Amino acid sequence: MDKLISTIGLALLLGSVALPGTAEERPRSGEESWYLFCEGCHRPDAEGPGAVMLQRRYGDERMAIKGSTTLAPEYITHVVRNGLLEMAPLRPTDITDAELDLLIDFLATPANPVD
Amino acid sequence: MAAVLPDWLSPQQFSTAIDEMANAIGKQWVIHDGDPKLRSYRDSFSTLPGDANVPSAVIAPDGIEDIQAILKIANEYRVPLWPISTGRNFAYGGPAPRMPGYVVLDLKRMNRILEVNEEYAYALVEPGVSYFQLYEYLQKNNIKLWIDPAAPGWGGIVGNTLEHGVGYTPYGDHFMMHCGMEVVLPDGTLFRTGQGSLPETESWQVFQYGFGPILDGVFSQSNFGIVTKMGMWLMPEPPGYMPFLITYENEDDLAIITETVRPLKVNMVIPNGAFTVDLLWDAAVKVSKRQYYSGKGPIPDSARKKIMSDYKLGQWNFYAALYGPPPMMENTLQVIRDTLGAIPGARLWTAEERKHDAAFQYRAKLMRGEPNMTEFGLMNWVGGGGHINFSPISPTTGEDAMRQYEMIKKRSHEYGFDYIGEFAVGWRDMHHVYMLMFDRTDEEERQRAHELFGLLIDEAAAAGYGEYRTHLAFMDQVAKTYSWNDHALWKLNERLKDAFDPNGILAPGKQGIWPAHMREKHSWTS
Ligand SMILES: Cc1cc2nc3c(=O)[nH]c(=O)nc-3n(C[C@H](O)[C@H](O)[C@H](O)COP(=O)(O)OP(=O)(O)OC[C@H]3O[C@@H](n4cnc5c(N)ncnc54)[C@H](O)[C@@H]3O)c2cc1C
Ligand code: HEC
Repeated sequence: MDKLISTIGLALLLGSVALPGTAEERPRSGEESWYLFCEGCHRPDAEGPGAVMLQRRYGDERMAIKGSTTLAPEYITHVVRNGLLEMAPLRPTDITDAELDLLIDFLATPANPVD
Repeated sequence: MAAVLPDWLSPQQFSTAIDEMANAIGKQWVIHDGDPKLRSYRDSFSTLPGDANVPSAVIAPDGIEDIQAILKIANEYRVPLWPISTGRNFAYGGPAPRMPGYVVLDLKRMNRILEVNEEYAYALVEPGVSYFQLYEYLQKNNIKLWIDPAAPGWGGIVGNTLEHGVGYTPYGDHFMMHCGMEVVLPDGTLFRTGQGSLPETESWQVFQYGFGPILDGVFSQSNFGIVTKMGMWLMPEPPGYMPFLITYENEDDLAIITETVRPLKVNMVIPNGAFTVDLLWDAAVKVSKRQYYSGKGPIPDSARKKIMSDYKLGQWNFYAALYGPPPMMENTLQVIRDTLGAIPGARLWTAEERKHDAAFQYRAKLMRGEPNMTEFGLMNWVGGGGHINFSPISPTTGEDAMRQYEMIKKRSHEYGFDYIGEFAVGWRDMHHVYMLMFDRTDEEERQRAHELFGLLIDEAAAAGYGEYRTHLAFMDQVAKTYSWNDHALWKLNERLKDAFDPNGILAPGKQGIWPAHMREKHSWTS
């Protein structure tokens, strides 16, 4: 039995993959914040409920927030911190102020056509 | 605006306590003094008035030592702490505390993926790890394991599991699939459950029980401790995957669908969470109510019929999936065709046929463990953000399903709201989730929704149905319905509370469990 247990233990060690267990680097990149906190709702198609709502309210031009040239940084900051109707606010532990700046820069870069 | 404080604390005591906490863990991770960022800790969707549950402060530790330092100060001053992990408990309260003035203990910074073991198929994570984060980690490292997310991918393993949350793959009962916890008690004691207490163990995440009483459950839906690590079993990627949808034409079909699903689930023919979804839940992801009906009150049957034909949906829409080598899936699919598919009017749809259907696509993703946010499209049905979930449990019978459906639909229509719901069969039970959607910018409507919810709790309880979890605002009311033998269970919960947390600092009132010093005002058990 002892032997069995140690064999299992060894297998466990070998089976483990790259396990840093260390904290990720902060501030996070704008792209990573986008993936973790925005893209799910703002992917510019029928599966992005934020995009769908914006399209319904304002038309196609305002559907995508990624790559938009018309959204003012102050407005984005306000929406992210206070929420907007169906969108809940993001907390400072999700996105710090420094990360929000990076995210806003990322939003201003043109949308990747293969996105 | 001055923050609301717990009524037993003077502003002076409160600010001294917060200053001491800030000194202990670092000022930048403490939010207080009417900082506008406190507003991001509201429940911006609830049936309560706008700022009902705003915390007095937020403190975000990074690690056990931080937590222990905070607890020490909280005990000294009796500061009520409300722990959250990813803090996305929307429809049940979001990141907000049970009462205004509590201090939110935001564990989101503790988001290390501590271990992923591909051979034994598990992960060990901290509370702040979200479904999106773990999914991305597995993808990037090319690890062939699936996670089992709740519908909103921004939630997380620890918070969702502690709430007894559910998912869509064969690992959908999250608490059943967790393995091992690390917990800090309110007095700072740190311990591990199961095999985790054997110093040399390699089995913490492979055997759930350990030696002696199984304590894990005591720390779920409770206020007895802060969970700081959790093991979760992950599903090895199967050699094949086949999601499907079966649409049904009649409302009454719910009875026969449910009767047919039961043996398929109990015998594990359908391996994953089987969902019977009503028309509007599925449609709301694609269209808004206004596109079909501009009047007040529930949408009329004529408009429902139109939606059914426009989007090729049923009154009921059954989703499940098959997993495994293709020949096995084909055989099982034949069983499905001969049973669920043989109900008159049934039509089975494959993924290929529903390629451009956002509702099918997000469910197909969830059933293979790919996190997304598409179900939030439900909020676009009426707009205005308000929603709260009513989720009673019952055995998987056609009679129970129809009884619950008719009861809730009738009341819902009476109060002017659409019935939007689904029945999830995990194994032997059904979770019926009714999503009460309302326009939160309309004050009268918000109050009406609140009243309806309270009524449903008592009516369901009278018929023998209890909720599996509930919104902050209704925790006492639901707890009261679990009253067998003169509230014996909640009296026991209170005794446990006093033993684990004598100063009553951790999440007072969570699940209707109040600490001694607040019991006179809030508790109904004596
Ligand atoms: C559109 C929509 C769809 C949804 N679909 C689903 C679904 O499919 N399945 C499902 O289960 N839910 C669903 N929900 C409900 C909810 O959004 C999820 O359950 C979500 O995962 C919960 O949030 P979280 O994971 O961030 O947990 P958290 O908010 O972090 O935690 C939930 C609660 O657990 C307690 N808690 C958290 N962490 C700790 C800790 N470390 N120690 C002690 N106590 C703690 C706290 O009381 C906290 O309030 C849905 C909601 C909406 C709006
Ligand atoms: C839960 C889904 C959801 C998430 C997550 C989400 N949003 Fe939104 N967002 C919405 C919805 C829905 C709207 C439209 C609200 C309305 O007008 O009804 C919106 C609107 C916005 C707007 C206003 C756009 C305009 O044209 O007025 C901005 C800016 C925005 N979101 C930014 C973000 C950012 C940045 C993130 C990530 C940090 C994010 N959102 C995450 C759902 C979401």
